[in-house]
Amino acid sequence: MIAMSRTRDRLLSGEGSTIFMLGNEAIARGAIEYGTGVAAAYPGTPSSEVIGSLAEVAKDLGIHVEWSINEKTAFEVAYAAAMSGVPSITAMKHVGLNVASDPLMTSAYTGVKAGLLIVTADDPYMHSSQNEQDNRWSGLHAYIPVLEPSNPQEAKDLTYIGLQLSETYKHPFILRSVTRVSHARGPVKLGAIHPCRTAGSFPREPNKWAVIPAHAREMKLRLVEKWRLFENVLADVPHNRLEYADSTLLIVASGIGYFYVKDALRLLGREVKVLKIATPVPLPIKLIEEAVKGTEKILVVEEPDPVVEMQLKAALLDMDIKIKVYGESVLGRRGELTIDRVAQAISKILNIAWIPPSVNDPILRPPPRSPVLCPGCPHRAAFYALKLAAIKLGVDPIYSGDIGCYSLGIAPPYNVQDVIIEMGGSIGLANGFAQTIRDRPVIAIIGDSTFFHAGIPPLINAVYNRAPIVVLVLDNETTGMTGFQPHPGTGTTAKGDRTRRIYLEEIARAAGVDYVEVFDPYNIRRAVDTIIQGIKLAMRGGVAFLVARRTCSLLAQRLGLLRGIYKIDRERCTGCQLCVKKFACPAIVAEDKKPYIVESLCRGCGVCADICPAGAVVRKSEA
Amino acid sequence: MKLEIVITGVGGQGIITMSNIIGAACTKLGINVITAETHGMAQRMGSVEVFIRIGEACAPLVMPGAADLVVALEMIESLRAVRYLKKCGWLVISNIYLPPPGLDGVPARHDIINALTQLPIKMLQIDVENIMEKLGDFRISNTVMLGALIAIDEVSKMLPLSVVEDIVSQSLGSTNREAFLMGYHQALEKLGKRDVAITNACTL
Repeated sequence: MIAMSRTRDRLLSGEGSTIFMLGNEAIARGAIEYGTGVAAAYPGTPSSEVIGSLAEVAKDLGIHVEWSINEKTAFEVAYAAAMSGVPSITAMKHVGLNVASDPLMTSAYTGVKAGLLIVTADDPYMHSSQNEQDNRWSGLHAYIPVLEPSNPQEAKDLTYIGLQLSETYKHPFILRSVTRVSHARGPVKLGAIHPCRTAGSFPREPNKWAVIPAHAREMKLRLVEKWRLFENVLADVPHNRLEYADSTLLIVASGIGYFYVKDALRLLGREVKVLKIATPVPLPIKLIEEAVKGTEKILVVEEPDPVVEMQLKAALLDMDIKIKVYGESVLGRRGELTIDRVAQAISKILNIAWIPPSVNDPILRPPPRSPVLCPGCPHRAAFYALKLAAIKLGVDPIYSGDIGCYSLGIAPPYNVQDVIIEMGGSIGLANGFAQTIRDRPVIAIIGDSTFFHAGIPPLINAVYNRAPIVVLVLDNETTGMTGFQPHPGTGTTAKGDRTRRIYLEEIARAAGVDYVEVFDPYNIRRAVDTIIQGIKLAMRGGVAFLVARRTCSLLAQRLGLLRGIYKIDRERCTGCQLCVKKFACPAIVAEDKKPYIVESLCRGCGVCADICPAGAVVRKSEA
Repeated sequence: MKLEIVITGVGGQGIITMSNIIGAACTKLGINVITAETHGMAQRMGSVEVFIRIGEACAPLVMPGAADLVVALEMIESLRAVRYLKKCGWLVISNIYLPPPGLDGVPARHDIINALTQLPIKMLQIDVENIMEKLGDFRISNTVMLGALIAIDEVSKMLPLSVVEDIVSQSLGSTNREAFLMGYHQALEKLGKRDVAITNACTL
């Protein structure tokens, strides 16, 4: 047996084996065990490996797996599969569900024929996200039950159970994960793989699937009845349980909160009654009724919003039970839980003294180490050219930013992300700024994958409503930040098949954009000239669409596409530090005045050689 | 029985691979394990922390002041991660030094070691650069440090050398196996010669 096996081997291992697995792989395995026939997603941390790992076994299983253009389309692909009787799964990061919320909100009205599981991977503490929204609220909002695993094993089990319940009750289900479940690894005991179902049928029944008002009103009546039913159905999910102890305090712990409670109680040496919740929405009231007997205080532990707490308080009020409920008041409603945070809360309520362990505090503070653009990153070259173009024109543009590696352009010395809100927001907001800011050019900066995802409608809007803007697409020919997933501009599908490549510039030309240019950002002079032309055109009232095209350097390295490396000739170097201060490549280090290039980091892009005023950067072989 | 380890370094140093090997070894031995890692934006040459909890542990995150061991693949990052280390816990630190680009006032190597030796901890420094040079491979710092980690008693009691060595050689190949063993032997030698930094409050 290979102990640290590849994704494919892990996912297809036999029933009964225990495999060390990533939470997201466990979700994928749960879907495989159920016999899921269709999986679709748009990548987003911390969700990407769910569909990414299914893509690696798609051909083995004969199932359809795709990277869709955005979460809405991914949702619709999975939804239609489930309408036609094929079990399906879609997975997205928490904010991705916002993009898919239009079909989400109506999916509970129509229901489904086969299992439909919507995986939302939330990101408390915002490790790699713009907000920390708690998508269990979406379940309440959309009348869709939510399952919440607490570790990789439960992630697999609840994926299976979610698909099963979805199919039994012909209703979509949400599986809500968080970073520390999706990106935690642990031993997962595997179950049997059922044959996958891939072919569907769709008889003409518009009364079931077409939500014209007359149909939707009927559906809403049945939906509300179903919702009451779910409160009872979910009480029987085996991952909910009451762990009895002789205590007047009851801890209600949802999802990952459960394990923090277990470890905190062990640390405190206390035994307390714990109600473990794996189905936070709708909260199974039956379990609460049973658990609160003999209880004087309740602590709710969940991450990060009081979704269970608010339902619990409402239920107690309905039952005429007066018990003090703690939760948000002692734990707050932000960030990730930790053992010490939970231990503090419990000790406070139990009125016992607990001092957290003393922490080593070195006399030296480490400098911040924020993520940076990689060596050879084409975005760095594009930003350098962009700044130079603005200086040459004597303008101070508004840099409307977007979601991707290039968000890192917010950092000095680039400072070219003045606003970042959401996917595609760069062009949408630029449309608005163009109507209100009259003395500065407006430049939207967006990645290739993000442009396909949400950039096309606002580009057309700019042409239609005459918003003078420059759209600068940083086309690194992949979805970089989430792990190199292909997209429509790459000519490859999730399964690795060739497909028609869609060119960004052709979309812009078809939309009637005034000025469309493609350039290589590694060629700084050409890049600066092109950007100057674009800005001038926008200042005259037009829409410019500039594509900076160059493969992501990290991907290029993996594909073996790199050329030689560079070094700095110390004789010729004048110590001006332009390459260090303005270009800021992590491969160029200055310990004294004269910088040097770290060989192991250089990716050979040669841009530093291009910009060095002294001509001191040379190819290593030439030196 | 419980063992809590925090591994730190800079995105790209292979920290997740290192924790995967430990997790796979535990699973092979039937020992409970949970690890937590960060992906996405946090990975682009930023500071990276991976948490490993082995044995009687459920939650994925290690509490500050509670780790039995901290492994630092990069020197500056040790100043951040040492906060997780318990009193008299082991800090296994490499001599790789990667200052964040474009910053002034970054602590120098000897200042870092000086600051660390004032803490109530046990510290073992591994000359990873030397092993990288000998093997002519810059990507093996993670397996060198894994070998050094296995040389510590508390760890080898749970994870025998041969089990981890097998996994390294099967999944990463012979150069990594060699790097792993060189890290292990260097650590053993230093421990044998008491070539470690230990404050008075702690004993070896």
